[in-house]
Amino acid sequence: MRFSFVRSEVANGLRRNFTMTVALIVSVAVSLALVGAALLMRAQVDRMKGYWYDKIEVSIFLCGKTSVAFTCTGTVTAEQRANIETVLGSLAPTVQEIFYESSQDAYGKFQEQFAGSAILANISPDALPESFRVKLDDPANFEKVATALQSVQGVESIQDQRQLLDRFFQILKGLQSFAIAIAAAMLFVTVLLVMNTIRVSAFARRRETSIMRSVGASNISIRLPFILEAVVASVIGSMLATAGILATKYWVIDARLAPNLTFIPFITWSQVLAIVPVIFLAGVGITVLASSITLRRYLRG
Amino acid sequence: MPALAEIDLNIEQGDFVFLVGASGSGKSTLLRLLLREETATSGTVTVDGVNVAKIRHRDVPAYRRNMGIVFQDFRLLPGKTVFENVAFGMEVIGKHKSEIARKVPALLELVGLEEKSHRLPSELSGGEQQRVAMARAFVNQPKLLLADEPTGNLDPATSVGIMKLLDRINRIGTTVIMATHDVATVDQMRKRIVQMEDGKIVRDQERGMYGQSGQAL
Repeated sequence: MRFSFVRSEVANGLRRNFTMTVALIVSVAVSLALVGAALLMRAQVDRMKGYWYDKIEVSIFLCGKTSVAFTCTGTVTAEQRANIETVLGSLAPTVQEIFYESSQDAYGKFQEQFAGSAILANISPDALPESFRVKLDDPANFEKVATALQSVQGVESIQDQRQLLDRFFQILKGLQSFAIAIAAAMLFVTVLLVMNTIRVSAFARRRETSIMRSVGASNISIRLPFILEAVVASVIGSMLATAGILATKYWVIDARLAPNLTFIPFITWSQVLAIVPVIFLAGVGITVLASSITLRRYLRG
Repeated sequence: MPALAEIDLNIEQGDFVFLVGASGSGKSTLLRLLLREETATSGTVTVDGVNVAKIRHRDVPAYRRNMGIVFQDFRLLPGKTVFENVAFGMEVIGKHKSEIARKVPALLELVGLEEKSHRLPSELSGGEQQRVAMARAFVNQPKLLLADEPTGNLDPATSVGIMKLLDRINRIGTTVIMATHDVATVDQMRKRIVQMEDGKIVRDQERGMYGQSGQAL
């Protein structure tokens, strides 16, 4: 089978089947863009986890005047506070760093955060509890600290910032599952579209293929033009999907989101570029598979 | 009921055989067995010493290059010229451009269409279209030519020309097997006749006529 001949056969097939080819390209592009989005969303979540888990702390709030916890008997005493610090110290290396924040420090921060707000007038320094801020070697070790401290006198409550973050990540994960579900549905539609395109194409060219068979053309040379048609469409679709993803990174993430949401670490270019080959492989792989299966049915040798 | 039963037929290299009989009598099935578009459920089909049923799937194309086939409906590609239609048969089996450029004119000369190589099929008469199909069937210089009702769509005068061409192809050593129910053509050629009825051979006669005296058709 000569290359120039195959090329003209493929070009003819794509032209003859123009609307179907366009539908196929769009379907491949949309489904692969969704696959890419789902993959990038996962990368984004991983990146935020790595960044924030590194920064999160466990807060141990100490008893104040109005505390009602069973470990509290009025405001924490100096003795109790020293004891808590000793317990925390004994938890090394799980506990890496310990900071003490007095009610006055907490009030200072509060004033900063709510500068100019009327709420400031209603809050006095002793309404804000004093606390220990503890940094762990691994945020997953929160339970160890909680177990060691939950019944120690003078501790009112122990708060894990990770729980707050995890709730947020849960939402992202839900979005990711949603993207994966839509991507799967779109890929399914794409497979059906490939099969239908090949079937129509095989029917339109049944005279050619019957001549090819009767003069003894090999099975591969009879099927190759059909498969290449689907591959050309899927490569164009993959390019569009890639362009869409790169454009999102450049114009949405880098130009809009990153400058405004400086506390969020966004996915890097190398992470985005890493999924490009995945998109092409998935696009071409699926169409080759779907078209081969269909040809087996419609072009019996 | 099977399409063919109790068939015992031997055709020598260089023979010219008419397969005659009503539609559905099994002529086409016999041709399909020879082409290996179908395999027999029992019994063996041997072509040129090869048991056709034993040919591996991927070797079927190579086997088919040893035979040519022409159909009643010509099966030309309407968008391609006469030259391109014949060339198509060579392109799809990977022949080189220079070989195609050399061989196609020779084939068109064989069928008497060298003057019309740049015409489209729609500009040709039925007989001319069938000649193009025969040129294409001959690209591999097959030893066996199968013809399924090649004159079925042609008027008697044109059929004579096609039969002369088949006869010429037969004279250069090609075995020709032609399925037909064209009485005039068969009677005029006086070749071997294999008559089929309900999947069985009911007559096998050298230099025969379509209707034997006293036999109703």
